[in-house]
Amino acid sequence: MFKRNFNILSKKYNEFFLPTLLISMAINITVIVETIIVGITLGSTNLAAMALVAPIFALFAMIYLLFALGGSTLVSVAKAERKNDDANMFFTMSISLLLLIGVLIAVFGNIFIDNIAALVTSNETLAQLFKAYVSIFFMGAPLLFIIMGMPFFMRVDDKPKLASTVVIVVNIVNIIMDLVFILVFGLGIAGAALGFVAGALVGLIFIFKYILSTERTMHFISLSKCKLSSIYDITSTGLSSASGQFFMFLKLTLINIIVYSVLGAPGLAAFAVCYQLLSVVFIAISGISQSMSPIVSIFYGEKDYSGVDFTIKRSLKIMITACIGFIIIFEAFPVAILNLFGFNNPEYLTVGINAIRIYSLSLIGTGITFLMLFYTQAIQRKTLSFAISFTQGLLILIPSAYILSKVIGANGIWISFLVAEIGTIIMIYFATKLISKRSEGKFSGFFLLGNYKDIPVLDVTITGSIDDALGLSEKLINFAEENKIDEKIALRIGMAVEEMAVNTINYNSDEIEFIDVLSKIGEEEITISFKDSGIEFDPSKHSSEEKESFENIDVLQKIADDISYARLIGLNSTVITIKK
Amino acid sequence: MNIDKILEDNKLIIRLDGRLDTNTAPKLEEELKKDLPNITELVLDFEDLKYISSAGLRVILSTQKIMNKQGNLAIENVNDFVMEVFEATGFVNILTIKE
Repeated sequence: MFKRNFNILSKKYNEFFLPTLLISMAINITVIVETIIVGITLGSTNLAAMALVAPIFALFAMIYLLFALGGSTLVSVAKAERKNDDANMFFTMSISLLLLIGVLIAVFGNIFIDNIAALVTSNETLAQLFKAYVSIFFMGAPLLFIIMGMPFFMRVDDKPKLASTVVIVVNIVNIIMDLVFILVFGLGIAGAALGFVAGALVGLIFIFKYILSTERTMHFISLSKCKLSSIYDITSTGLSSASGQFFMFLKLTLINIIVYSVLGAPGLAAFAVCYQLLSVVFIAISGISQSMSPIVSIFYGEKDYSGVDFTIKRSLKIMITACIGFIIIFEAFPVAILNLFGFNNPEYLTVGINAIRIYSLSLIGTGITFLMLFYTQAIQRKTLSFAISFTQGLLILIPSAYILSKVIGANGIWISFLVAEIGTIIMIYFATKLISKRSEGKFSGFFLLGNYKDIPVLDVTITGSIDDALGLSEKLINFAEENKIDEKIALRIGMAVEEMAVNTINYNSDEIEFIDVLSKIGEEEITISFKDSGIEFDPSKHSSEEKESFENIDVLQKIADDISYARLIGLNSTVITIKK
Repeated sequence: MNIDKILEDNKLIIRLDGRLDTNTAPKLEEELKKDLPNITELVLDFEDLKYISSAGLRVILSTQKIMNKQGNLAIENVNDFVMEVFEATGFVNILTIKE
């Protein structure tokens, strides 16, 4: 009776999953489509200029991941801990930093554009094209950072659909305007950059919609109220994801060198295809990981470890299933894939087939390590998160690619990707064991879940029926008495549960399907946490119109020692405390 | 919850046994509606009442309002928990509670 069923969590995960997947798809597909448009309309020289800008884009991605992902993770944790002032501070600081850095890039990027162009190429034609393309992105940096950064906060604020709308609209308008600016107005490569700016301006409409919404739960505060130390908190939290971009860039450069030295041009071409395939797989990997992240942050912050366990294990199952699906396709159809990329030369095909078949085997590992990177970031294990990024991105891959290429030959390069993923997973395993040992059992397992140690815990789900609410009330009274709680206190606990649950059921005119109730008997107090997906309702602030009202919440406020409330990713989260 | 009634002329004694909660309070309210006309003295005996919630308080309050017009209401043999609830909610100021 009353077993925890994770229905609320499951529905919330599904609400996040598709919009997050669409965001990931929009970004990745746009990159490919834009490359094709520029290639077809402007030719390969312009394409080469676009490739030169890739490190700048990687730097931009690093910046908005650092502040937006870092800041939004901290907002989730702060809200779960009922620290609304901190949540507002992290929100304000993150957006302010994104704008500030955007403005600095806009100013100094254009001042030093000749120097930057000279750094990336000595070819005068490419330099001119590079400058024409990148100068617009420099000018648009503040807008770009807001457009790419704000959706992270919107998702944490239970607006995953609006967040995905922003990104999808930006990218669709980008593609359409690329064609308009290039073909109609004849603006060349600058047209491709202006296409993005046009998309960003349209996306800004939806950002304003969110900013002006009365449902927004994160608020801007005066910068004078923000602690400088929050900059460190934000950047250290976002570092692992942001550094992943940097390591990706380094990895590509170094692997390209190793591949070329062993396999020459066919090897480089094969690796380019593998990288494009990874971009496709990353739509799923990124979507699954970023769906999991805000939910885990919040539930871990609330110490609802069974909820965290459910979410990460579900994400892991979906990840592994998706990666297996991709592996089957890549193993079965390498020739068709290579033909798509224009591989006709037999030598190129042979190298390509080999590369795809061996490289694909690493995909499950890639999925797992990427998921763990986001997971450890969400539970605030910043050092471990960074270690995963560094180990997977560079530490094992480059040396093993070099060594294995010498020992086994060309296949050694492709095998090194699998070696890097397995090595990273082993590293995570031992790191979590060490952390668990140092915590003296406070956190344990691969997912470093907290445990309640000697605290008696009752973790249940009830349906939205009065009978269930009363049944739980009686069950909790018995549970408390079994754990040597004074009878009066035990009855008070039962009463608190009845008042809260009955109010929740009655307050929602549309039937409440489930309510999660997590009760813990601590040394000095008993806490009862309620979670439901009903209408927003704060029992700590509720006051009746009638002076002497004996409605459920009025009585609850009188018998509970504390009531704390937060609206988290669209869920009502209430914690009632009763002192022993 | 069990409800035992003892009627002595215009005095009604109601003994409650069990829980007075969201499910059982309507049952008490229904019984009182039937029996209260012509009653000038109502005694609620809580000796065997283990638990009360806001639903029970609301029924007692509405009964108190009725009895204020036609007689009086007293509650007796209140256990420690129920007394604590009466004190926390301010019900002690509204009711006549006999020791």
